[in-house]
Amino acid sequence: MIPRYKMVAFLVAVFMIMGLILTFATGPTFAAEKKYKMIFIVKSLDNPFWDRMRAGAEKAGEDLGIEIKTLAPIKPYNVEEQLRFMEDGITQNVDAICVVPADSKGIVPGIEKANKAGIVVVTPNSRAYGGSVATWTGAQNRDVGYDIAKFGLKTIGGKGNVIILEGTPGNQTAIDRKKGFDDAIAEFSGIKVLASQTAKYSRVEGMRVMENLVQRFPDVDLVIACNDEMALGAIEALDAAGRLSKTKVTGFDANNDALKSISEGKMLATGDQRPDAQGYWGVVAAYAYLEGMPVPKDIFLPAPVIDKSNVAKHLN
Amino acid sequence: MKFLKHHSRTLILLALCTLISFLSPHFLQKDNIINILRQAAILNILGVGMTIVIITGGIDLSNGAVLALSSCIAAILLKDAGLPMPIGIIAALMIGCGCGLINGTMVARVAIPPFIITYAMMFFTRGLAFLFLRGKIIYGFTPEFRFIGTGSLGGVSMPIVISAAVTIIFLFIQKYTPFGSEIYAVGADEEASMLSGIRTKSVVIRVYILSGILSALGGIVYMARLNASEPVIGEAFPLDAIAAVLIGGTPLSGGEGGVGGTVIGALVITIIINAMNLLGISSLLQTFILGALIIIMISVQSHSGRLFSWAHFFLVNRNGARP
Repeated sequence: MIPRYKMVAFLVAVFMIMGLILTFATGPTFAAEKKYKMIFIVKSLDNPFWDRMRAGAEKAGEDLGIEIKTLAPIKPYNVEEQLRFMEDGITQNVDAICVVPADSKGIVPGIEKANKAGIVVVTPNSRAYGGSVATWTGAQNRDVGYDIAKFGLKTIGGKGNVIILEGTPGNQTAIDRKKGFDDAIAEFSGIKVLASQTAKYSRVEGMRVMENLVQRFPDVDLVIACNDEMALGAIEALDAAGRLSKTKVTGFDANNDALKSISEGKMLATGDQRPDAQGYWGVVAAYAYLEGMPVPKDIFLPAPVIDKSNVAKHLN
Repeated sequence: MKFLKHHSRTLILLALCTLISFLSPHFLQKDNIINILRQAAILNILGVGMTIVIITGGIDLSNGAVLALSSCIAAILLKDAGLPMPIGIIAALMIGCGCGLINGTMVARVAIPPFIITYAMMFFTRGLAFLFLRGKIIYGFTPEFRFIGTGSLGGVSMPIVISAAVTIIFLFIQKYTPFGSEIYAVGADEEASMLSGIRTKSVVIRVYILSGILSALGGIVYMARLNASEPVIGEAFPLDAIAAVLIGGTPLSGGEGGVGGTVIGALVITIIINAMNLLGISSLLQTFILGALIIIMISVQSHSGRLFSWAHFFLVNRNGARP
């Protein structure tokens, strides 16, 4: 008779191996004989934003007939893992690396290594502060932030109490978006900023911070959040406190939940940066560069404000 | 002396509350206190599981990932498959139970260090959660399900009710059941307790299973409260729960401490975060302050504990029994 623990251990091993096979079987693999090989590295998988960007990049790969391998760090926003992906790409001798730097400075050594190996580097969405980058694609975070904040401030009549939910401290998009909010707020003299706190781009943090701030401030007219996740968390907190009817909330990124929330009349507005277009154009730019075409240093993509009036055409 | 030893963490909690209530007039209001209890509820549920694991001398680094996996599975079953609520909840608890069984079996029967196997389990379960949801978020559950996270029972909100029930059940187990004393015996001296007839391996396995089930329960409350489920939730839970256990006076060496202290530990951590939001402390400073305060709390706690247990040993209890 086989001891019981051995059987359990065996079953566990089978279970784990099956998991591994499943992972690899569904993961991306390089097929042979395509013109160019590229890797596309996003910041994380914790936000549908990156999934849309990945889909855009893969569509561009299909349209242009090049191989694209999309990668994301296991630990969200981890620049060390991104550097490892870049090094792996360099040893596999890819033609181009599209990377969305999780840390604009931290990614530089990877870009320099790629430059040395003669590999084209493109940075969609977020900029790198060094190395030689062929092009950057994206929306101006500051400008979209300004548009959303202005829309929200106009909706509350240009006067009242405002809370800002900031992104992860030190993150470039967080700084740029906040700058846009601040610029818009500076144009209205009747606006009072009650608090400006980080909720680290996460929904649960957004809920927690808002639950705490609701205790301190009885009158809040508008919450401006640096992304949709935090805005949705804040909406849950306000809803639970019975104050959603008095307080408007704006987000940023236009992910599916946010669009749904806008159509349900809960969220006021969000901005669509079209991450799929950023990914698509990033790959197209790398392709054009490899073909010897001149490519502009910055490719700006338009980013409209979405509210109840135009949400229907963005909702799929 | 005995009073001080047994209540040193309660004193820490009171000192913290007094300090903050001077700094912010909003802190001691009824609504804010309920808010703190509600926010501490999930950390407390996971902390209770972590406590009994640590008492046996083990550790469970997988609790946050098990929370994520079980809530993702429940979300898929409830939202995508449209199954009735009890099935989703039971499935989540079964997942937690299964992960705990694997952890416990590997620790007790295959003799893999708990740190290693639960660390591996953390990646394994989180990876599965990613695989099932592919980085997407499931959003919007039925009001019946959301009741678990946002409803209230007799005026007390549900997360608090569940967390209190879990605490009371485990205080009872810890104090009045043979299993409770076996946990301490295994943590204090595994070999001696084996020789005295305790089935130590079975105790260890059961402890990890309970931790897994509690993680899954935490996951259900979490998604009902947030109205969403995503594979990345609960990343900070293992370390937050360990911090709560340590602040609560259960040392990593095992064999002593208890669930009661962990409740206070969970409250201390939640109160610090709440106070930083109320006081409007700069975003850049918050993580630093939380870390610094946890270090101070734990060193005060463990130092006073050692001091008091020595004094206790010499002055009160000369048999040398476990304090």
